[in-house]
Amino acid sequence: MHRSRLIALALALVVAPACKSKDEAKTKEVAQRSADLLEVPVDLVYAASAHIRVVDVGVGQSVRGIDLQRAITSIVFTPDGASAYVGASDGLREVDAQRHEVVRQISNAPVRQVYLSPDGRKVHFLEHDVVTKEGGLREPSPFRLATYDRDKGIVLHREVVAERVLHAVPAFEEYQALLLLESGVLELGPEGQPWSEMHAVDLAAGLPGGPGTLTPRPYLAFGPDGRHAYVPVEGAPSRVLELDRKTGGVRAVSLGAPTLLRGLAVSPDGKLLVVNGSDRVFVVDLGRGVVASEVALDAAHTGASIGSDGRRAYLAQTVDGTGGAVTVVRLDPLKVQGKIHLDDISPWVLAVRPQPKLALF
Amino acid sequence: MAIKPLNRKAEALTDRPMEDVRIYSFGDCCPGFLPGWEVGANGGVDPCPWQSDLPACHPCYWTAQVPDNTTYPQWLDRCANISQDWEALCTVPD
Repeated sequence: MHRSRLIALALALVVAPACKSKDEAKTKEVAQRSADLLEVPVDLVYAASAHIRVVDVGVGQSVRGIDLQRAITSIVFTPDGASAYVGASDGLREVDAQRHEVVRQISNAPVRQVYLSPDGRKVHFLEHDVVTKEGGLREPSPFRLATYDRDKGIVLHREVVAERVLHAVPAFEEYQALLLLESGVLELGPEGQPWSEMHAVDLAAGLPGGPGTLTPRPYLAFGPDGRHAYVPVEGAPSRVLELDRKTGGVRAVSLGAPTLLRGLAVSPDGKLLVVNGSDRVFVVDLGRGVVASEVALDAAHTGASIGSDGRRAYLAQTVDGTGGAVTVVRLDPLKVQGKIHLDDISPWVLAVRPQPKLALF
Repeated sequence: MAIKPLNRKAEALTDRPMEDVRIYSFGDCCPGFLPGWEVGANGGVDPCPWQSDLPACHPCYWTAQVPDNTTYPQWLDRCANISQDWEALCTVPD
């Protein structure tokens, strides 16, 4: 065979597979883009500061507003997405989450945190009062944990927990109660144990603290069945503690470096934990207990919430130009998809309304 | 009064350039505003993204700037939009 023909044949043999793999990659990329275009998010996000804005992620804007003029501290939805319970500086409200209207004022004392019991039947909320004494001295009362029965529509009871509480989660069946104080003390205790006699959790458990202090931040999250609680702890390195409320066991997930922690959210299947590191997002693989991926954000964020389908996380960008924004983060592959600007509020609390289960034909 | 080094190790230390002493941050929070001096534990120049962190900083050590949320739970009531309402934050409500 002529020498030039041999060279041409050799080149063809080398180039052809390369072109094929290039074509395949391009086809995959086009398919991914098409899938992205067809995959329109259907999540509704409640973004709140002293007002609530209902953000339709599919539409990419705020579609309704609930004006309260009260600092909002916590929002939880019922599993069916029918109602939301909103804690604010003037008490607890029930919101019809279909019509986005306040339907009931349940209490009048400042609310710090709201929790839904794992069976969805009771709403627990942490409240306290501030008494102004002679001379203008303000004296906060101890915090109380109140329990609201959704079926009966009444507050069943209130129990005093402690002074300066950030979180108090009651025991549920075999899951232990959890207490986080402003002083940084984190405690667990079985059902029936008085709040004053819970046992402390070692914040350095499983991961030495390094120089400086370990500071638990008030952004707790819970696994789908309520058994596991996740507590963000700033330090060197910052970490997330996974508390097994059944056994009392503690597992630390290192974030690798000192970083601010401003929110946690567990995926609906309990496999992933999204950590708001203020200007970055970490995704923790809870099966392996390690950070699986992380992505940078272009500004400081607060809070975190994950949609019902587990595909996206939402974070509040409290300051965005003359307002605020909700940042949309796709979880697989991890990528910042964009942000939805809110012109009239600077959100610091977020919650995604659960979608009712849809039948697939 | 200048301090004189008394041994070789001390002399070596005095030859080094002085490092800035970043006293105005504790972890992620700052007890005082000194622009340019707030440095976080990881060396970031602004551990206090103060506007966005106003609702998030309690209960850490920001007593000079952020009212104690426990004593003043209503202090953010009039600040639905911090970007535009932050001047109202300077006054703790009566």
